[in-house]
Amino acid sequence: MRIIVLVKQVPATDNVKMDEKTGTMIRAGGDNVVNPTDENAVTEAVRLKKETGAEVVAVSMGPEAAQQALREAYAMGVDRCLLLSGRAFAGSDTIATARALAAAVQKAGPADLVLAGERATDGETGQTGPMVGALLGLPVVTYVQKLVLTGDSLELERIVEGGFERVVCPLPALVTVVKGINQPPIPPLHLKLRAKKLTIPVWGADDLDLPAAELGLGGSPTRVARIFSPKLSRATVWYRENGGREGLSALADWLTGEGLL
Amino acid sequence: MSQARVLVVAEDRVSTRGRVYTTEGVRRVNRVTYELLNRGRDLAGKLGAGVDVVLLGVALDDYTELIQRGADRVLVLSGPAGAVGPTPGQRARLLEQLIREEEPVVVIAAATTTGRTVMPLVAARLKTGLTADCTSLDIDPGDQALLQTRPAIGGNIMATIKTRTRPQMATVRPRSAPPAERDPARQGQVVERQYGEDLLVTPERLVEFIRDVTQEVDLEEADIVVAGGKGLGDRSGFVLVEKLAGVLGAAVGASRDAVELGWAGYPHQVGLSGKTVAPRLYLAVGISGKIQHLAGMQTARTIVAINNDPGAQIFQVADMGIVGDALELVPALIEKIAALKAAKG
Amino acid sequence: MSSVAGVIDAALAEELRRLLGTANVTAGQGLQTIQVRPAPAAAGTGAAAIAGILKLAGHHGVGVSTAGDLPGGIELRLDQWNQVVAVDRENLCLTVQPRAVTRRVLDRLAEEGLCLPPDPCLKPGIWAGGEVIAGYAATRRVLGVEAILPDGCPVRLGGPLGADQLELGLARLILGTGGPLGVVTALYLQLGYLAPVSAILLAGFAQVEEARSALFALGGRPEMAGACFECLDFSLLVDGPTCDHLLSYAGYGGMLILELTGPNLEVVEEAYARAGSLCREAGALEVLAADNPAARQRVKKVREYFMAFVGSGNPPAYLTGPVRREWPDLARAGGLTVPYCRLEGGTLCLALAGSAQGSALPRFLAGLDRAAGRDEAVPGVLARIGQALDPGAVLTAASGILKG
Repeated sequence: MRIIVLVKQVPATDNVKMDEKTGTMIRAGGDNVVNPTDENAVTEAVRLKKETGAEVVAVSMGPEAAQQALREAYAMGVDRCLLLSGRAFAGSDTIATARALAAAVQKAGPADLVLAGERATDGETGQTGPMVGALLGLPVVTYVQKLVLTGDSLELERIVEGGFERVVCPLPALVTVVKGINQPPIPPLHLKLRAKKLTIPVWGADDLDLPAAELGLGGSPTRVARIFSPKLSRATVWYRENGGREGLSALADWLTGEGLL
Repeated sequence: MSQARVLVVAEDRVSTRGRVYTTEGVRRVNRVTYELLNRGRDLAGKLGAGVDVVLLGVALDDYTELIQRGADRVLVLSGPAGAVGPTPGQRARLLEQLIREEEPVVVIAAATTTGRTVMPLVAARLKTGLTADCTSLDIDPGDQALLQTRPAIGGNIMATIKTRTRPQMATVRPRSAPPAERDPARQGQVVERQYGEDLLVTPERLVEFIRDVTQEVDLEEADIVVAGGKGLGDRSGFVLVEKLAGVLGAAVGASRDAVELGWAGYPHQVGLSGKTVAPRLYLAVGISGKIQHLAGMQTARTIVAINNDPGAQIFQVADMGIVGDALELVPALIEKIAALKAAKG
Repeated sequence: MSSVAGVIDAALAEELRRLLGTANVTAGQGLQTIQVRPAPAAAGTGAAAIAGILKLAGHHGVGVSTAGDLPGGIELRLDQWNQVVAVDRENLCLTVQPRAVTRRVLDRLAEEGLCLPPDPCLKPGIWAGGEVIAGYAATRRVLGVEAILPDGCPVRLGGPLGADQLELGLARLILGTGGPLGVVTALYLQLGYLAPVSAILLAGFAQVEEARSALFALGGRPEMAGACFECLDFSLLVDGPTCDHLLSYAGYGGMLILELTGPNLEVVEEAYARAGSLCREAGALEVLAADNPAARQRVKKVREYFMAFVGSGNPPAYLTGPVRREWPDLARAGGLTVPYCRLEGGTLCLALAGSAQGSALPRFLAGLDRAAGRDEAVPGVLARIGQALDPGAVLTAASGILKG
């Protein structure tokens, strides 16, 4: 059995501060991390590996520096890592990215199970996972908070508005997981040290038999027409005197005025 | 009629109060559908197009409200008879089939767990572009293209996106627009479409839907959200926030720190890795206001913050900033509100 | 200053208003307490205002307290005294006002690549008073202090260029006792360079004793001087509520957490590879490495969960002092458990559970004196006050200094 887990390197959003004057965001410090829900996906893959002896392959698409995310995945117990990198992929939107990842999964596979995080904290679309599944012709189950593998069938619990659904799905399949599914452990030191010396194979566009027109900016149907920073800060009415008590009556009056009481 | 079409994907929800959804469970239209209709009407107006609403594998007993709120045509695509309810996979097949037949120029759906699964599946199979979580949609007067604006990197930057291929697909953030007005005079058609079993059989199968009873007031639907953070000190501090929410009939929100310290469940988490809310009032108690949290609540209409640190970043997005000790102020506020309610009788 | 409670009368209130301006003087109902808020303004004039208040109080025989818990006295509100006065890079000395909020001081220093050297007593979080004082009562990081003595006479002990033992001893006494011996108007604190790169190792041991002996063994090695070691007694958690952060560490009796810092990644990686093998030699069952933000966040949660559980409501009492290997065993002999100890920059901080109740504490303190020999003992103040301790007292993070 082979499990392929999709991993993405994203900027650590913890060090983003707000510029008081302009009310817009400034990112201080540049360190990158593994996309949090992808860490959950890796943890789930490694758990299944311990249960079934499956081989786990981590695949990421990104610049050369994205190897660090794959090394983190390796330190968490993944068997093999693979990076898709090269100028041909630059500027890909979610569909172009999904095409490249689907081709990579095909070539590195076949995969009995593809796992991915529910969304990436930088792009936030949550589209790439389902798109890869659609392109591979796999059934896709998203927002999974509980996964049980019995034989070659999955019993899943997925979060939906107002509750959750129990779903049964045969392998092969693609599953995206939410943060609550497990608690990624802290990697052991010996794997950390071995991950540092790991050479990670890098595939370019020509390793995937995909026409260049389907990749990168050229292969992306959506394009960013304009970028602007939203003005966030508001003119605050302050209540500081005697422990803020006047603020309470102001709030209570506002609530009655709005008919919210 | 070869008039261009704007296709709105209706979002349905289970209205049964019961724990388990079975075929007898009645499905209702989710309110967000009327917000989508509002946007659909606006886009159609600018394109000189007609508005279609599609129900994917779900039948209702009455469609007049959809028509009165702006649908020129209601397309009811028959679902898998007897199944517990359509899976996203089945809905995607129905939607893909309809789009191939009708060739709409724009397809919009709600950015819910259903919309965010169905739309990518369909976009990938149709090899067309999809933009997620849009907060505003417009038509470029120049080339009639759909202008899709959405937050990126947790609301730090807004990006307006255009799609070169057709249809232009987008999911829209719930509560980012008011629902369409109801006009009793509006007329419209209801069209039923049957599709063969082969189209609808998918490997995955929905066994049951279980309502999450812990959520009395759905966080994303609530008019008022009272959210607690680490500044409350411990679980007993957080209980005060729950009491305040109870008195206000509000939903309980929580910062990531509060959830990770075990004071509230993950469904209550507001922010980048939690839920996005845009209530009429967001009351942040003991929350420092990290960027990831602001991303989940900055579009609330009115924001009130209570914190003992005047320098806390939450105050920068607050309409009302109350500087004081939450453990003192919240009980006082509960009493004040209880008294006002009692006086109102 | 809980001298005999004199009478607060309109005359005193009037004189205070003339001195400070009416806005800064609020009299409680029935003149029971008067709240005064002298503005810091330029350090000089602010200090003169406080001197004026103390002189008036002395004249009227009325007590003054900064903690506001003195009925029938003057409550001195210094929350405006929260500024960083000066950052002296050459002498690595920070001059800061008493009510500066620790977290904002650290942020300000970080922008200049400086920091307050890590110290067990330093609590980064903000708490009610936001006092820098309490966190610094007795550490060796205090270079000096400016204060106004009870008779209103300003005094400066030590300063950027350090101070002799007597001055520092007095400064520490004024700081530690939180006001009765003098109102602090400024602190001189030692600065350090911010180490940009850090990594954390977790070493799980079968028994907490093994983890503790590893702490002392590694702590003593020269190449580990800059590191911070913590030892957590996980056996206490065996019946505690499960915490999912701990699932992967279940089955350990003791957990050692090492925080290594350094100028760059190579140095830190070399150090933690070395530390890893030392932990193995000391009997660690497994060594985990947290060197990315997400893993570091999980270590933070493990600590928070452990502290909340061990403290179970009221925070454990801490005793901080020079490194003595035998103290944890002495504490146990005195009927106290040591759920947590931290060794950092030559300071050992012991969390003592079940410390204040019952007579265990005095025996432990007396034991400390004997074990460490009179001169090196935790400063004499602790031993003297320790004997007079009543069971209700709580020992807080003040090496040698107790707050009743």
